[in-house]
Amino acid sequence: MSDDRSTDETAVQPDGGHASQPLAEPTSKQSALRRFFTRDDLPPYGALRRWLLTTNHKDVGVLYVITALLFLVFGGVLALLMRVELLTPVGDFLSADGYNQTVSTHGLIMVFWFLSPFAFGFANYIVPLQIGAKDLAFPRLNALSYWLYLFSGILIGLSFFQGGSFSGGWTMYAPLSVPNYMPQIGSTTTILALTLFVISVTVSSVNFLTTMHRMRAPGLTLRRMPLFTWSILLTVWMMLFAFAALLAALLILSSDRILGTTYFTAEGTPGSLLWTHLFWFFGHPEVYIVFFPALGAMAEMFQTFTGRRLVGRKWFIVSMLLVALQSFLVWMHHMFLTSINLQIKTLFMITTIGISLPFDLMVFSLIYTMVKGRLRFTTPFLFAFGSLFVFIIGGITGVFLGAVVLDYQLRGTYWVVAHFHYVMVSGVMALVGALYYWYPKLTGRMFNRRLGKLSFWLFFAGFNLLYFPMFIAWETPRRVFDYPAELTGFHQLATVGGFLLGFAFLLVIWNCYRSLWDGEPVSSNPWAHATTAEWAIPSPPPLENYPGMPSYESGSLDFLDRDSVTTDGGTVTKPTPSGHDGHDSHASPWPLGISIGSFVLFLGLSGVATGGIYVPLTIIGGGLLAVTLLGFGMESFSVTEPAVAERWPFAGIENGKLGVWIFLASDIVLFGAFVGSYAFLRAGYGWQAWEIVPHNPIPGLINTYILLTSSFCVVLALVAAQKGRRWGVVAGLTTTLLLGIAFLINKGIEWVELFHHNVWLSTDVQASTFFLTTGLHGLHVVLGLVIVLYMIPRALNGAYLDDERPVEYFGLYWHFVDIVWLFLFPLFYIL
Amino acid sequence: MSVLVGLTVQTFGIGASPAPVILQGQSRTMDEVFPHLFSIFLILGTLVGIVVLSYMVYVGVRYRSDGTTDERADSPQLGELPEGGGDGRKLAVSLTLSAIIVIALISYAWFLLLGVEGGPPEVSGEPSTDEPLSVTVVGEQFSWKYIYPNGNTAYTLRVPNDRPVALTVTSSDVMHTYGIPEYDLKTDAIPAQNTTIWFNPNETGTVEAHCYELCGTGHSEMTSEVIIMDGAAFDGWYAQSTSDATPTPNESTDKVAYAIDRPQSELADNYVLV
Repeated sequence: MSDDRSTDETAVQPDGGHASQPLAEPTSKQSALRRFFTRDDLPPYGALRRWLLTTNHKDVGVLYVITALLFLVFGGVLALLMRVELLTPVGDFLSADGYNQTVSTHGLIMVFWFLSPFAFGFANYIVPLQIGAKDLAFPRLNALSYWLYLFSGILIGLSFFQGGSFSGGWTMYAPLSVPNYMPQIGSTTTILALTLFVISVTVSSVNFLTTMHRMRAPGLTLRRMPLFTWSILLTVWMMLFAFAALLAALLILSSDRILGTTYFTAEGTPGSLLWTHLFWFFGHPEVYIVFFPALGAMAEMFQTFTGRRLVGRKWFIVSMLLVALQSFLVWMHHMFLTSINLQIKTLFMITTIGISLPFDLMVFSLIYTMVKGRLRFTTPFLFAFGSLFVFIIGGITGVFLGAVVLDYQLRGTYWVVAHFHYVMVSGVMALVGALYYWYPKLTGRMFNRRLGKLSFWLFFAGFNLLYFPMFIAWETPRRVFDYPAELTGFHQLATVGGFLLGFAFLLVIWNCYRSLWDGEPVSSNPWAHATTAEWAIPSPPPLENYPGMPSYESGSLDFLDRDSVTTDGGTVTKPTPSGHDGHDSHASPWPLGISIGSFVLFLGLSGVATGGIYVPLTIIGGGLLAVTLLGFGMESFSVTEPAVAERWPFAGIENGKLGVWIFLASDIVLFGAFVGSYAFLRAGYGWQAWEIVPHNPIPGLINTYILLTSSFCVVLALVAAQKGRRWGVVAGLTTTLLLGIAFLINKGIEWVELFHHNVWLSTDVQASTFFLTTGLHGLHVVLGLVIVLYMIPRALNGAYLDDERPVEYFGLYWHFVDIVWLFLFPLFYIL
Repeated sequence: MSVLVGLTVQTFGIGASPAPVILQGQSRTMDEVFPHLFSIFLILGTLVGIVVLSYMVYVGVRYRSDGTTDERADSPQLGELPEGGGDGRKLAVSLTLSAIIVIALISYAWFLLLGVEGGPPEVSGEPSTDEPLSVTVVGEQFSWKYIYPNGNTAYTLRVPNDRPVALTVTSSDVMHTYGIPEYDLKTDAIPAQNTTIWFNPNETGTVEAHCYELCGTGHSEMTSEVIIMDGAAFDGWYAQSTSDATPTPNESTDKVAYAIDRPQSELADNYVLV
């Protein structure tokens, strides 16, 4: 364990000192670049290298927070551009298309690149501390999530320089989003940027779920988890499934834009309704995904600053759980004005009201917690209190929208704009409170209290001045720059409020920045009455967080000596063999490398249909991605699983396997969305009238047998590995590889045959769904083969004889791909 | 009994029927239902908001720490395992109360919805002038095209003030939303889908229809005139009407590069109006 916070922060003395570990001198033989990426030890905070290489959850958390704040400034500037345009009731500042781009990217950046990542900065930093883990389960994947996030954001920024960014609103309604209506390359870039972001989110979800389900300190059962951790757990579960649906929507849209499929434009099929279903199936859970972390942070702050335990804590958790489940059953309330029928409208009205009630309970729970407390109106509590205040207004105005008849008239107006900003930015207010709340923990210093309070009052005033007039001027249509002249006064007030709110944000950022130097050093628990584990360790915490193994077995937090851990309380699993004398690794250059490769690849893909510079970019990006992925796979990176931990309900399996399972769960939703889209379009077209694309089901049938056999071979390889038979493993894997290649060749012949009959992706919607869905499956097969290709040489060296788990993980994936085919074959070849 | 219900209905100002409208599912237009329901929601919402927020602020002030006696015997301790702090009863009561308000409001709104969704009243025995006028509205970037029963098309909607008007709304290109704020009307215009709305035009004059779904460069200015004519005047106009060739140019074209001369998309070409 090393305390490597150094140089520029020497004044900060963490109260639990740890012996420093000397940094290894890189040898002069290494090249400059190689030396730069030497990663045996984590460089000090002052070095740029540290921030590029680190995989430590606290560093990554800080990176998330800072990056999210940068995107806040970006999205905020866009918002102010809009507000300046709206000073007058006519269009006179931005061009019409410029205004649409501003509206759209403001929404996208705030929802995706600011709100969630800001919350996940805290989740990264705080959740492992609250559950008593040394780090996340897969630290390198965590760094990968961050870098993918950063580069996806850079990509959306670049889109403005490619003929214009996306201009169809953050809801990206089809078919406005297809090249017929929006031909700019920049629009494709925006969609690909979002796709990259979704990949980052998926990686992150797998990581957090594995961590939170498998690495809790002994005695910390799910029911005893702190509320912030609870809110993140539910958020991540929602993310896993909701973002998979969005990924499907984005892949289909990208394909319509780049490959020319006709999902959203084909005649005779309800393509634009398909988009609204896919988008809102994701979009409504997304509302809770961005708000839950704020709610969790509010609950923490309310407890700490009232000096009381949360009233009805159990019911608060049950409420969150209910909301998380129901969030997947309300999406059609965004579609009350479409052609869905009265019965469906009624059903979704009921589920919508159903989901609002748990929030009532949570609000009352927070208010009653204050009763008989000793309220300390510190800066974080002011923000939490203010957040609850405006959230109540946002909640009440939301009930209006649940009443279908009122929604008919309020939809598409500023009532909706005002309502969701009252809710979303209430979440932001709580998260700014969280920033102040955890700032001393993150930095070891206290922010400037006076400036903090000033920033709150400016924030609160600016917020209400900005959004409240929108309720009064609700008749303004959304996303227009000219509106009824009699509403001008309200919009001018809102603009003044917008600038005030922007200034308040800058003040918050300035305060946090200055206090890194000026702030007074703090103890481990500067707030008093905080109960959660992050306050029991120094501010900032040492690299591996805890002086010993945290445990709640005795009924409260203790730190046990790591060597004398007894095992009567928890489940013991085999610790992962460690290559670094029992020390965990904390740095890797590959997450950054993979992200750069993905960035170049996606930038290339955005314009690959137009040729030019984009083709070499695509090739370079793809190559870079392949090399860095290989580097990632070959790197020896050691992570130890805790010997003892609370793991319900996943005690029986290890982290790696749980990670694979969780990933496959999201993949099921991805394929489900593709199959659902197919069924939806086909039903709209007329199920029987729809012509099956393949002329002959036999190649598909043969492929079914090939895949089944290959799954069997993976099982044989696994058995051989368990029995220690090296050649058995090699033979099993090689046969799998050959069968996989046979599958692809067979499919290739079938496709070429279809091409000869002039059946191509863009021919008609039948061909589009056939090629894209089976193509996505084919890509899964290719990915599997790449993994096998990587495993065979290692198997030759006897790699899996001691530890057969990689073969097992691959097998899970391969069986899954096999099962998907068992569904696709009848759907696309026979029915 | 029915008199009582009728009185109640009268009091809330929706319609003249003395019968219990709700149970009959009588037709109601949006401009009857919306202002009425919106004001009820607004009044109750404001009341609930004021009560809850005042209580919250009161509690905040009342239990404010004086900075001296923060530590108490039962204060939460660092590292303790969390437990719920009682008061479940109070929570349950508050939740029930708020649930009753919300569910009552929404149920009432739902019954009114039935009236709107029912479409124009069927007046089969009456003279044919009371039959609703059916017009198809087609959204296209960036104008509204109206198709009358006689097959004529126009870019301004003219309707008579003596009978209901039923609009079937669709789109020939991207998603739009058609709305006439004066009559509290709004519905999505979706390619290859039809949605319906209806209203009872009354006072003669000109009102405006707007687009409420972002649909491209000209979205902000995608408006159209709706002229409500005297019944007889309308009949005269209708008998002599011909099709408009092109959309009426909008006044503020200085800013928006209208895409009218844009090559028609494949979609628009292929689109067959159902």
